[in-house]
Order: sequence, then structure tokens, then C-alpha cells
Amino acid sequence: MKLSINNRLVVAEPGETIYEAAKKSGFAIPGLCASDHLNPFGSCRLCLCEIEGQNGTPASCTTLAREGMVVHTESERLNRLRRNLVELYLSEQPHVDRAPEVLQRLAKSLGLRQVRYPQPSHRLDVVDRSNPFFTFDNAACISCARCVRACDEIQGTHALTMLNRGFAARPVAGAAALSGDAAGFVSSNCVSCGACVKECPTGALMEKTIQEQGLPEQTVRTTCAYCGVGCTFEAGVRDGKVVRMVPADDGPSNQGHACMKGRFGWTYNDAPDRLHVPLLKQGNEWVEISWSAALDRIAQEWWRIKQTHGPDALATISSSRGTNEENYLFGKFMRCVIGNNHIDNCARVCHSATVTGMMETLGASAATNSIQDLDLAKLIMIVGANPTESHPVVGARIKQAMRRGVPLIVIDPRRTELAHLAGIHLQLHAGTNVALLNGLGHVVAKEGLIDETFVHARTEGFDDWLNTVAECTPEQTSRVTGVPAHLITEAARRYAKSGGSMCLHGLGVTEHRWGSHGVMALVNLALATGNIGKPGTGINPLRGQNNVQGASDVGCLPTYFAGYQSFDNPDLAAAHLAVTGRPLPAARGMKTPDMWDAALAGQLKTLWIIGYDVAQTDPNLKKVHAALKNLEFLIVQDLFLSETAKLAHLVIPGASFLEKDGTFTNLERRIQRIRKAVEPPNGVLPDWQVVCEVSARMGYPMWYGHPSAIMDEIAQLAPMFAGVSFDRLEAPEGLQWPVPSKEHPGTSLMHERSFPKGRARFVPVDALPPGELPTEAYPLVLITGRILQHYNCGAQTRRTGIMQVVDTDVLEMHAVDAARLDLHDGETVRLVSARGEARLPVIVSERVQPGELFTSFHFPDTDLNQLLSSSADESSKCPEYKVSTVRIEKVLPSGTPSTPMHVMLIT
Amino acid sequence: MSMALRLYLSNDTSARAAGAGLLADAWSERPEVQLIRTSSRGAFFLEPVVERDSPDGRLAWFRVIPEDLPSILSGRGGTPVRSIPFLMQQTRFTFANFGETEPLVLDEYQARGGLQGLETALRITPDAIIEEVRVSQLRGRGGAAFPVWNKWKVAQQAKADEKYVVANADEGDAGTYCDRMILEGDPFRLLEGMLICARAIGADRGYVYCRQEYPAAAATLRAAIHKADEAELLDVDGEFFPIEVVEGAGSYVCGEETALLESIEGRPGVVRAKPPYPAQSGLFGRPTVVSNVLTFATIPNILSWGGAWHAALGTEQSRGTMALQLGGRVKQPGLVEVPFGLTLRQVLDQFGGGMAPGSRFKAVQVGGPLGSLFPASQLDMTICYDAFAQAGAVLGHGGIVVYDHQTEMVDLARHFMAFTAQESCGKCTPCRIGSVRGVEILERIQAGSGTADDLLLLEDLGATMKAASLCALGGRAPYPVLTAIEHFPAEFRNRLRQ
Amino acid sequence: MQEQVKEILAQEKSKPPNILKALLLLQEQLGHVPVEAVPVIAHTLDVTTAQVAGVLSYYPDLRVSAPGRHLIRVCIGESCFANGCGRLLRTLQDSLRIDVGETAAGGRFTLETMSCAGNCALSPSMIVDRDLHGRLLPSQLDALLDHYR
Ligand SMILES: Nc1nc2c(c(=O)[nH]1)N[C@H]1C(S)=C(S)[C@@H](COP(=O)(O)OP(=O)(O)OC[C@H]3O[C@@H](n4cnc5c(=O)[nH]c(N)nc54)[C@H](O)[C@@H]3O)O[C@H]1N2
Ligand SMILES: Nc1nc2c(c(=O)[nH]1)N[C@H]1C(S)=C(S)[C@@H](COP(=O)(O)OP(=O)(O)OC[C@H]3O[C@@H](n4cnc5c(=O)[nH]c(N)nc54)[C@H](O)[C@@H]3O)O[C@H]1N2
Ligand SMILES: Cc1cc2nc3c(=O)[nH]c(=O)nc-3n(C[C@H](O)[C@H](O)[C@H](O)COP(=O)(O)O)c2cc1C
Ligand code: SF4
Ligand code: SF4
Ligand code: SF4
Ligand code: SF4
Ligand code: SF4
Ligand code: FES
Ligand code: FES
Ligand SMILES: [Mo]
Repeated sequence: MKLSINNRLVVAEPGETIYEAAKKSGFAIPGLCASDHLNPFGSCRLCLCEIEGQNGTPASCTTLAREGMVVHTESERLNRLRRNLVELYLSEQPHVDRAPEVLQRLAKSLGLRQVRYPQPSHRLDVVDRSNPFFTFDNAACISCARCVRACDEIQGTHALTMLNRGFAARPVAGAAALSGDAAGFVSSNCVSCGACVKECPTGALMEKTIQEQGLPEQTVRTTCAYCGVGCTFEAGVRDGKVVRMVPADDGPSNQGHACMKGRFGWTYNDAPDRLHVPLLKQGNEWVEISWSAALDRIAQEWWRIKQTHGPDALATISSSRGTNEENYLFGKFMRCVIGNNHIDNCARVCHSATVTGMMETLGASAATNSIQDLDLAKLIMIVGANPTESHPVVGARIKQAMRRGVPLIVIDPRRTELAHLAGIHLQLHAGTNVALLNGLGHVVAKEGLIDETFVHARTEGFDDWLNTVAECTPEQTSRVTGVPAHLITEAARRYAKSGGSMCLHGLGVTEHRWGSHGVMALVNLALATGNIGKPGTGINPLRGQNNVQGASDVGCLPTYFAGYQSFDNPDLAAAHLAVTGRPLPAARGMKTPDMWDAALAGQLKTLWIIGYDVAQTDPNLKKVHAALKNLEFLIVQDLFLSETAKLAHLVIPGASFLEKDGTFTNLERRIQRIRKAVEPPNGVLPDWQVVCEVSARMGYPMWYGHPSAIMDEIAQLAPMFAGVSFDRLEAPEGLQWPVPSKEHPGTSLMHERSFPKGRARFVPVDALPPGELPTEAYPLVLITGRILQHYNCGAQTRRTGIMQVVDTDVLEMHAVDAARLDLHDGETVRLVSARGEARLPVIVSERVQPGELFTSFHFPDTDLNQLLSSSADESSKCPEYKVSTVRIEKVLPSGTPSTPMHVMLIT
Repeated sequence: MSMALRLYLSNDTSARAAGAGLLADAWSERPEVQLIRTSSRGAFFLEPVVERDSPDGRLAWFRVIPEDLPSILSGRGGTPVRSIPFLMQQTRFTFANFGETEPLVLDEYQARGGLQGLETALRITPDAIIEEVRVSQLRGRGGAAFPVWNKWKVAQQAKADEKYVVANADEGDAGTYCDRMILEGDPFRLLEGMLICARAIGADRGYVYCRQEYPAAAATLRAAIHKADEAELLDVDGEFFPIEVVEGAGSYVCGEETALLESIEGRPGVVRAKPPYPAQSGLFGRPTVVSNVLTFATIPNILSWGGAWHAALGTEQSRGTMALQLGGRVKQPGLVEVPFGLTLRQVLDQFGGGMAPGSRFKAVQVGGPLGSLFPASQLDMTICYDAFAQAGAVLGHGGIVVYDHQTEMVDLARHFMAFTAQESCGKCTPCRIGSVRGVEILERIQAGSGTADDLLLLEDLGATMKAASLCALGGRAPYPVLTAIEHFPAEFRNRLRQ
Repeated sequence: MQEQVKEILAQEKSKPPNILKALLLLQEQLGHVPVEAVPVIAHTLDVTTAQVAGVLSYYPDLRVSAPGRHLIRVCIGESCFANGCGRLLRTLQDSLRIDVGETAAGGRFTLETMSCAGNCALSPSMIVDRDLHGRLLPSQLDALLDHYR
């Protein structure tokens, strides 16, 4: 479509407005209320234009471009209108001298010198400071409603509204303003995603860090280091300090959006108790030692132990929070210097069941599709995941899809925000995924909803699966899972018939006694209905930490080398020898739980743990603590003195993601750059340099000028990364593996034509009971998981303003159970399992069903994971975090006032 | 059984306010009287009117009080209805039933030709219905005067899971009341029009958005819907076609079609930017035809008598009849249905009967609170959409309010601006802030502290509001104010600070 | 109050929830929409408090505090303006000793203005509670109000 704007030919897409078309071609039409991220609105009226053959001055941001249109955006008339509009804006400012900069700039450019209205009535001079991260200053606001629309259209939280009408119309959060209270945000359901702040054109909504420290002098593009979404950010830096993090519009996975943690939860970086110096434990005391002493000490101890006890006495748990390059190096260090494969990472406790489940069926163990496929899906099914809290930017995107009318099915024992919004919520009992998924398969098979063509052309083992699901009638399934039979039937039909169903799954599938089976049951269903290998479909694990995907990809696994290559592959062995000069150890190594057993048995003598707080986050903590204490030498490398670090002999400070270069791989296999924005605190070395230093001291120098050289080595050794290099990663969209060659564009959709092993395999699985079932002594089922505001062990988020939002883990309980046990909000109880006990405040919640409890694990004080058993998925050893049986004991006499706490449940 | 005499008494809200209710109460126990509560003929200056049958057709008594009953019973002093000049000179098509029928008796509606339009519509194809409407050249009567067929065509062609028909019964313009009369007096005509539209575009549901100030209208309409349902009329292509009455909550701008849709959805009545137009994406994002009550009420006749019949009435660009509603200081306020083409003067003289006793003409305002003011010198203006448009005025919903010599133009101008400031939805800058600035300037002038610069500023502000506002509330608000200044400059100048 | 609000709102079952209808229903039964009830309303309707606040503060007819026993609304539309609604209003203000928007001592009358009662042919008009009065003269007001005392 071609049109003329200001006598220049401009090309526009159908559906584009004049404003958009002009912007694309480099004309800036003045405008304050329009945004690339929001629907046309047309409130500020500054973007008025003239269209030949048409009366009046329509707003260019709400007028669609048409073929052959002749548009003018500059004229004396338009200029005068704009000047008068800006004058009106200025006239309502209570302090004209402090009017927002944009208005002042506009006034200047339009030649407005003076406001002609004497003593005009003006805006209410109220400020809402109640959000921990930003303030709203009504005086500086122009009531354009961009913030409100951002909250509705981008974040889907609806925490904001325009209050009143006419002149008095202004944005507020929540309903506090109705009673004259300015503290709107704190009493609203705002989740501090920051979308409104970013959209605000005037600075009426403004980050507190900017108000306190000033605007950034430069920005550095990087990737969020919290969750697996991998949002792209611009880190704003001033005086060598980060002063704000703003999501980048061209971020491939976030497109300008973010969540509370990435947007505002980075201030731990300057926390006063960041580790700055290596610490050596002497008796019960920590002694600061020099870097060289620390590095020497590691080399000495490891050399000694290896010489004395042999390589099997040494192991490493690498950090899924670290970069690909760091993780690769730790693997290389173990393989080349220590000579074993005893290396694991946090993926073990997270999505290892996904890895085994998808490997056995599809032959590759990562998300088959991309986040952007959410825009193509005809139906979205979420199984055991809570994206609006765990992967909030993906969660927001799902809510956007729902706004467009895309149906949603949620399978979760809890009524999560999305379950609440979904058309169908299959509220199964925790631990019954396989039964339910087989039940769905039964309906699909029985009602002839199989994609025959796909099954015949692309899969094997279909008949075995048919036999397995044949008995799983909806009624039978309903008995096991507690889900009404008609919902099972309905969900199966919709999933099979939508014309493109995209499945996302999480820990509610993997962290079970039969986690791998759950994943396989899910894959079977997708295969049977042909929902794989096509845009807007697939099996998509919502990988957890920022680089849990990458840590496994680059070989921090006891079972695979980088690129999921088997140790017994002779070509790999040869290449490894050629590139590293050392042979690749052929024997599989220990998985994390094996390490605990080995430590307790006295076989494992030393562990090097990087960025992983096992002493808080692994299950069956008494055992883990005992194992750690049984070690001769425990090295912990972390940003903070974590629970694990407290048990260490030597603690090495780490450099955070803001202080180093490298890459992370997000949950859609996208490799993205992180870039050094600020210097680490006095001389702290990034993890990759630490391992290089130690390696050199142990006689195997590994020198890399820059992490890019490490990536080059990975590319050399792992075919699926063959085409990856830092140069190519400069592109805003990064690269999605596999990237088999320098020319290959990367893979946004996997298995389009074939599977790695040719055909995909149905692996029929039978439903089996979880590790433990309720008994008289332990009648309640405890589910554990995460909440939006805090992150895993909490070491980082607990050192930010997020504490003003949530400052404790709470035990969520259904009202029926609370009434039966005579418990009230805020009352602290003792939770007891066969392994241990934990103390937690109770809160009555609509998110759990009777007989089930939920809590998060972000605060160490509770010792929550003492309650959990070592029960784990058979094949992957993924712990059964999601099902433990417990009882509740009242600890306080009734009527004791509850301790004040900050809690916010997302519903 | 005694032969009670049938007396016709209007049940219209205004008639009741004029005393019809009193009469009904007074006479309810009288065995010699059988009261038939009809709609009103709209000659409100005569209300309460009581009529009885006679060989000459109906005889009427005007401004009746309870004590007049004996003379009515005796037949003394009645005026034949067909000799009342105010009514005689009108051309009643849409309002043909008024004063004749009981609003909720479907048989009467049918006996007088009702439902024939719908029958035709059910016989022919949707395309043929729309073609008939196109030929009729009917334009929307709510204000914007957009060709009706065009909206229908767009909605018909839009693809969607559901479509809606919405009748705009917000009738917010002060000085207008013909929608209320239809809702109260001939509700089946509205429903018939909506059903025809529904069939034409393939709609699934209907809504009538009725202003909260019209409780009787909403109640009558609900009863009519119930009766239509019982008569199995609420059916479009074999599917039940529910029609819901939604009541507003006192916001003028909710008469604007997109704000109205927001309000039906239960949200603040804030105006949406167009495009998309409601016919493409309206209620709940679905194709929706929003038309004024009077527009829908005009449809049945077009379908029964053909589009050409309608097109033969009126002027070149404005076909058919218009319901004009006289108010203010005229002698004979009331409803006037005439073909387009009379001049303002003709309407005021022939129907308004001149000024109220003791009043001298000063100005007339046409088209509600956003309409322009006309001084005596402009009374030869033709009542027709285009003549008005050319004069920078609007016919709007046909409200005509006459101001007399006692009206202070500065006060009136402030009154208009204050109305806009009060009713602004607050979305767009020129209206949200501009209307308040306008009030401030006029209040300064009222207080005697305004200057000549203030008048210039007001003009500049007015021009900005006209050109830049998102909807016609802000866009038209300056018209009455600026025309007041234009035609009565001395009144403004005299109040300026010397 | 919470239970009462929930009970009333149980009658309003639109899907998606219709906030305006719900608030009108509440007002009809409670006389006004108490601000303290907003969280319960939001929760019952499954919307956010902000969404409720937006609607509640937008519509002139929705009130957050209880009006007097009788609500007087004087039409100030153009036809009534031409016919002297100003005088009517001033008379009422004087005799009730209140301003527009206020409630008279004793809580008997609340005085408000409105824009057009659709009774323009009988201007000036005023609505007391649900009763419409037209062709009003200031001299008739006392007798008329007596009727409601
Ligand atoms: N805010 C925040 N975000 C995070 C993290 C964090 O700590 N905080 N951690 C990150 C990490 S490491 C990970 S791995 C991801 C995890 O992200 P998610 O996979 O979303 O993690 P969870 O909240 O632990 O569990 C997801 C859901 O599984 C449900 N569930 C429990 N049992 C069952 C069951 O038997 N069947 C089914 N179908 N569902 C069940 C739970 O009710 C819960 O809603 O989040 C990442 N993102
Ligand atoms: N009850 C229960 N327990 C669970 C789970 C559950 O659902 N329920 N989920 C489990 C899951 S899925 C996971 S992934 C684990 C996560 O548990 P953890 O991995 O223990 O927790 P994190 O907070 O992700 O990170 C651990 C540490 O890494 C440090 N760190 C961050 N960045 C860097 C860096 O660049 N370098 C170095 N050296 N250190 C860094 C942080 O300071 C922090 O102390 O928790 C598990 N535990
Ligand atoms: C501020 C404003 C108020 C309006 N009020 C009404 C109204 O009360 N009734 C009405 O029918 N149209 C009203 N309209 C016009 C409607 O937007 C719309 O054009 C009309 O309902 C369409 O119906 P029609 O085509 O039959 O005229 C108003 C428009 C504006 C800008
Ligand atoms: S921060 Fe996010 S959730 Fe909070 S009000 Fe702004 S957009 Fe809404
Ligand atoms: S706070 Fe900012 S975005 Fe929101 S209305 Fe005001 S100026 Fe617009
Ligand atoms: S969604 Fe994940 S990656 Fe994005 S900002 Fe939040 S925590 Fe960071
Ligand atoms: S604009 Fe003039 S010529 Fe055209 S129809 Fe109207 S009155 Fe007739
Ligand atoms: S002109 Fe007034 S009523 Fe219309 S959209 Fe703008 S602010 Fe709202
Ligand atoms: S940018 Fe178009 S109206 Fe504001
Ligand atoms: S203007 Fe007052 S009733 Fe219409
Ligand atoms: Mo995880």
C-alpha cells in the first residue's frame, strides 16, 4: 500500500495507521498518547493531520493508512492546533515551571511562549509513593491513559483505571482514591511489572532509583538473569552504577515487557552484604583471604584429594544461573583436569524429567516451538506450570492471547491466575498427571480425533499407546484424579480439534515420583493429535532459571557432553582430544543426589558448588546438610553468603550478570548475550576466570581473552552450536539452537520435517501412585512451588524492595481446612512430615483445594525442604517436590495476635 | 351491564406530568367512565387532553381538570381532533398511531398496519431489505445523519460469531423527547424496526440503551418485549432474538454510540476512537448496528410501503419526515412530524403558534445543547440536513428551543460550556481541559472582569475544540457559544471590564 | 454488609461481568454504593477494585453516600433554562437552605440538577424521587415539597 505523507511516498501495511506508517518512514508526528505496544486510542490529539479530499483534522494515530492517500502532518493550521493543545496541558499544571520535560520541549518547538489562561484551575497535586519501586505524580500527568492501557493490554492485570471524568479524570491504582487515599498501588493488585512506568510519556510514573540517583548516562543491552524467559533489557548506568533496567522493545522474548524481578529486583547487586572477598573458615570464624591465596588453596586441596582418593572423590555442581561459557568451562575442568564426569547443575531438580521424557520420545529435550508461537496457537494448554508468576512475561502474553479469544486449558491442582481465567481448569489431585493425560488420550482415541496422517508418517509405537489408554475412560480417570469426567472429555476434544494446540508445561509435571512418565504422557498426546512440528503447537517446557537450558546444553551433566552428545561417541572423543588435548572420560558421572549418597558414604571428599544453594533448595535437607558436613573441603562460589556457603570451607565471591560478558540460553533455546554494564566490586572475578585460574594452578592452563573464545570452542565441539558465535549474537534476536552451521539461521520451530531419530516414539506409560499418600498421621498433601515476587533460594530477591511486597513464605490453606483446624490468617503453625518440621504462617486461600496445602521455598528460616523426602523420578532423579504428606500442629493458643506480614497472592 | 363511556387519556409521561395522572385517579372509580390509556398526540400545550369517540371521529377536551367530567360526558365543548390546526398540518407517518392506540396492545398495532414491514422483511432476502433501505435514502435521526443502509451493509458483510442491533434511546439532547414518546407510546414500532435490521444483518441479540431519566419508557418497553416474545415475534431466521433493555446512569456522552457500547458492557462511558466503526467492531468487539430509536421506528413503514415512498418525501438530501420537538418559550410546545423542507420560521409560526404570552423572540437553538443559535434574521433557514450543514449548524435530533428577550446570552453561553465541562468523558485534551477553560473565561465575563482578549481567546479555544476533539461533544460545544457571541456581540461586550 | 452485597450481586450474572449493572443494582437496594464494599464487589464480580472504582466514579447517578430521603432533581436543560429553571433552583436553594449537591438538615431532601427530563414541552421540569413535575412556577414549590415532608 502506498500513500504520500508530506509529499513523500510511504509504504504501509494493511491495518497500519498513518502515524505508524509515518514513524516507520522516519517522520516524527508529534504525539503523546500513541504507543507501538498499545491499541490506537487518540486522546492527546497532537498527531492531527490533514488528508486531501477529506474535511477536518483527524488524528493520524487512529486513522488507517489507505492506498493513494495524500497526507500532510505539518501546516500552520496544525501547528496552531498543537500549540493550543500544549498550552492547555501546561495550563493544568500546578507548577508550570516544573512541568514535564516533554511538554516544555513541545512548547518550545511549537513556539508557545506563554499560557494565556490566567489563574486556571489545575490538577490535583497528589503523589502516590506506595509502590516500592516507582511513584505516581498526578501533577505531572496528562491523563493520556497509556498507563491504564498498558496494565490492561500488555500486562493484563487491570490494576489501574481512569478515575472520574472530564477535567478530573486521572489514573489511579486500585480503589483507594475513592476514599481520598493516595496510596493506591499498595492496596491494588499491581504486580509491579513496570509496563505503565515505561509507557508513561511524561515521567508522572517514575522509577524511584532514577529519582534518587538521576537519569542514566549510558545504557548497556543485556539479558535478565532471573527466569528462563530471557527478557532483553537496557541497563541504565550512571557513575558506574546501574540506576535502572528497562525492557527492550526489540527483545525477542519480551518485546518491551518485563516483570517485577527483572525490572526492579536487581538492586541486590549493590546490597551491603555482597561478598567482596574470598572467605576461609577457620574454626567457626570467617577469615578474609586474598584472591591468590584462595585460588591456590582450591588448587592445593583438589590436587591433594585427587591424588589421595582418586578422581571419584571430587565433584562439581555448576550454576544454571551462570553463563554458557562458565558452565562449559566447569565441565571442561572436570573432564580435562579431574578426569571424570561428576558434574551436574540445577536442572537436575527442575526439568531433568523433561530431558529424559522428551529424549526418549522426540529425541531432543527442549521447547519444540518459540514464545512467539503463542500468537499463532489456536488453543493453549498449560500443564503444571504457573506462568503468570514463574514466567510472567510469557504469562502476560498468554493473557493477551486470551483477550483475542484463544481458549485456554489449565491442568493444575491449584487455582492459579490462569486456571481462574481459563475456559477449562482440570483441577486434578497432585501426583495424578499420567492418569489424567492418559484419560485425555482415551477420549481422543475413542472419538476418532487422532491425526492419522501424522501418526503414520512421523511416529512409531502408536498401537502400544492405544492399548494403554484403552482402559483409561473418563469415569476411571475421574476417580483417580478427582476431575469431573465431562471436563476430561471436553478438554480432550478441544485440545484435539482446535487446529493448533500449544502445550506449555512446568514443574507440576516433572517434580514427581513419575515425572518423566508425565512428560511422556504429554508428548504421546501431542503426537496422537499431530500437535508437534507445526507453528503454534508443540511441547514446551517452561525452563526455570535464566540458563538452566544452557547449563545442560553445554554439558554440565553427568550423562552427556555439550550438545547432548554421548560419551561413547568415538568421533566426539577424537575431537575432544584434538581440541582440549585431554581424553574425554567415558564413564557417566554422579547426579546430584548420588553425590549426597557418596558424601555420606565418605567416598566423595570435596564438592565445588557454584551459584546453587543446595542447603536450602534441595529436598530432604537434613540429609543434604549431613552430606555437606561430611565433606573434607567444600567450595562455594556465590554472590552472597548463602545457606550452603555457610557450610563451606572456602567461599569465593561471584560477579553478577551485570558485571560480566557471556551468553544465556532461554526456555525457547535462544542464545542471548549478557554484557558487562558495571565493574564487579573490588576485584571480584567472574566465575569463568576463577575456574581458569584454578585450572592453570593445577597444570592445565585455560586462557581465554574473552568469553567469545569459549563460545567458539563450544561451537567447534558441539554440532548443534556449530554456527554460533558472538558476532552473530549481536543481532537483537540472538540465535535459537540448533544452529548447525555459520549460514544456518537458527531454529525457531523444531521437528518440522523429521525428528532427530527419524520418527518420534510413543512411549506408553501407566499411572502409578506418588511417593507417598495421605495417612492418618500425615493427612494433608503439601505442594511446594514458587510465587511471583521471590526467586528460588531468595538470596537475590530478599535483598531488594520486593521485601516491601512479600516478606515471608506462607502456607496456603483452603477455608474448609482452616475452619476445621481452627486456624486464621497470619497464625504461625508447625508443619510436620516424616522427615522434619517447618514453621509457617497460615493464610486462607482460594488457590488450593481442601486437603491440599501450598507454600513457597524462598525464605530459609522455615527450613521447608526438611519436610521433603528424597523420593525422586526414577530415571532422571528429579525430586518429588510437589507431593509430600504432612500434618499441621497449632503452636500458638487461639487468639494470639498474628505477626504482621507482607503477603500478596496472585489470583 | 352498564354502558360506560370510553374516554381516551394519554399515559405519556409528559401528559401525566401535565395532570393526566390526576384525572385518572379522580375518575378511576366512576362507573360511567371507561378510561383507555393511550399514547399522546404530542400536542403537549393542550395536555391533559381527554378524547371520546363521535361520528366525526374523536372529540377532544384540552387542559382538562377533574371537574370537567360532566361536560365531557355530555359531549359539550369538544373539539374534533382532526380540526386541531397543530395536528392537521402535520404529516404523520412514524407518529401515526399516537393518541390513537394503547401502547401495549399488539392487536391494535397490527390492526393499524403494524408488523407488515417485518412480514415483508421476512419474505425477502437480507440484501433486498438493505436495498429497500438504500432506496429510501433514510439517514440516521440521532444526529450524525449517516445513511442507514450503509451501516447495515457493513455489518451484514462483516464476519463474526455474533452480531448485535442496538437502539440508542439515550435521548440526551435537552429539548428532545420524541424517542421517549415512541418508547412509551408505540414500542412495537421500535421493536419491529430492530427485528428488520436484525434479519438484514443476521444479528443474534438486541439491546436498547435507555436513559435512566426515562423509567416509564424502560418499563413500557420491557413489557412490550415480553408481549412480542409471547407472540413469538422475537425470532430471526429461526433463532430466538432476545432484546434487552439496558439503563444508563446519567451520562450525556453515553448517547455517543461508542461510549454507549462501553456503557452497555458495564464500563465507564468513554468514547472510542473510530475506526473501527461499530458496524465493523462494536459491542464486545462484534459488528453492531447502533441507530437512534426514531431511525428504527421509521423502518417498518419503509418496508411496508417501499423505499421509493419514503424517498418521495422531503428535500433533495433529506428524505422522509422529521420529528421536530418544540420547546422553550413558544406558545405551543409539542411534537411536529413534517417532511423536511419547511423553514424554521414556518415551523415556529405554523406549529409553535408564536411566542408564549409576554415573550419576545430572541433566538432559537436547533439540535440540542451542541446546536447553533439562530437570531430572527436567520429564520428562513430550511430544515434539511444539508442546509444546516452549510450554515455550520446541525439539525441533530430535531430539538427546537426558543429563547425570549429575558435570556442573558452570556449566562446562556456559560451554561452551554458548563454543560460540556460537566459531561466531558475526559478522554481527549481539547474537551477535557478546554471546556473548563471556556467556562472560566465566560465566568470572568459574567463577573465583569473579562477583557476583549478573553473573547479572542475564547474564539481561539473554540476553534481548537472544534478541530481537535475526538467526538462531537467537544467538537460541537463551541457552536452555541460562538454563535451567541456572533449574533449578540453587544451583550458580551457590555459585560467586559471597561 | 459483605454478605448482603454478595447476596444482591448474586442476581447479576452477566458474563463477562457487567460492573455498571451490578452497581446500579446495589444502589437500587442499598440507596448508594458504599466505598467500603468495593473490595467485596470486585471479588464477587471477579474484576479488580480499580475497575469498580473507574465505573463508580464515572457515572453521575452512582453515589457513594446515601442521599436524603427525597431526591429533588431540577432540570437545567435548554428548554427549562429558557423557561426559568434558574429561578426555580434559587427558590429551592433558599427554602431548603442548601446548595446543589447538598442534603438539607434532617436529611429529608437532597438537591441536584439534571439535564433534560424529556418533558421539555412542559418546561420547567423537576423530578422528585420518581415523580415528574412540569410547568412549574416558583410559587408552587412550597406546596409541592409539603407533599413530601
Ligand atoms: N517468580 C519466580 N519465578 C521463577 C522462579 C521463582 O522462584 N520465582 N523459579 C524459576 C525456576 S527455577 C523454575 S524451574 C520455574 C518453575 O516454574 P513452574 O513450573 O511454574 O513452577 P511451580 O510453581 O513450582 O509449579 C508449577 C505448578 O505446578 C502445579 N502442580 C503441582 N503438582 C502438580 C501435579 O501433580 N500436576 C499438575 N498438573 N500440576 C501440579 C503447582 O500447583 C504449580 O502451580 O520458575 C522459574 N521462575
Ligand atoms: N520445596 C521446593 N524446593 C525447590 C523447588 C520447589 O519447587 N519446591 N524447586 C527447585 C528448583 S526447580 C530449582 S531450579 C532450585 C533452585 O534453587 P537454587 O539454584 O538454589 O536457587 P537460585 O536462587 O536460583 O540460585 C542459587 C544461588 O545462585 C547465586 N547466583 C546467582 N547468580 C550467580 C552468578 O552469576 N555466579 C554465582 N557464583 N552465583 C550466582 C545466588 O546468589 C543464589 O545464592 O530450587 C529447587 N527447590
Ligand atoms: C455527545 C453525543 C451525544 C449523542 N447522544 C445521542 C443520543 O442521545 N441519542 C442518539 O440517538 N444519538 C446520539 N448521538 C449520536 C450517536 O453517536 C450515533 O450517531 C447515533 O446513535 C446513530 O444513530 P442514527 O444513525 O440512527 O442517528 C450522540 C452523539 C454525541 C457525539
Ligand atoms: S506496574 Fe504493571 S501491574 Fe502495576 S499498575 Fe503498572 S502495568 Fe499494572
Ligand atoms: S501517568 Fe503517565 S501514562 Fe498515565 S495517564 Fe498520566 S501521563 Fe499518561
Ligand atoms: S519474566 Fe523472567 S526473564 Fe523476564 S524480567 Fe521477569 S524474571 Fe526476568
Ligand atoms: S441543501 Fe438546500 S437545496 Fe439541498 S436539499 Fe437542503 S434545502 Fe434543498
Ligand atoms: S470530545 Fe469530550 S466527550 Fe468526546 S471524547 Fe473528547 S473528552 Fe470525551
Ligand atoms: S498520538 Fe494520536 S491522539 Fe495522541
Ligand atoms: S430541557 Fe428540561 S425537560 Fe427537557
Ligand atoms: Mo528450576
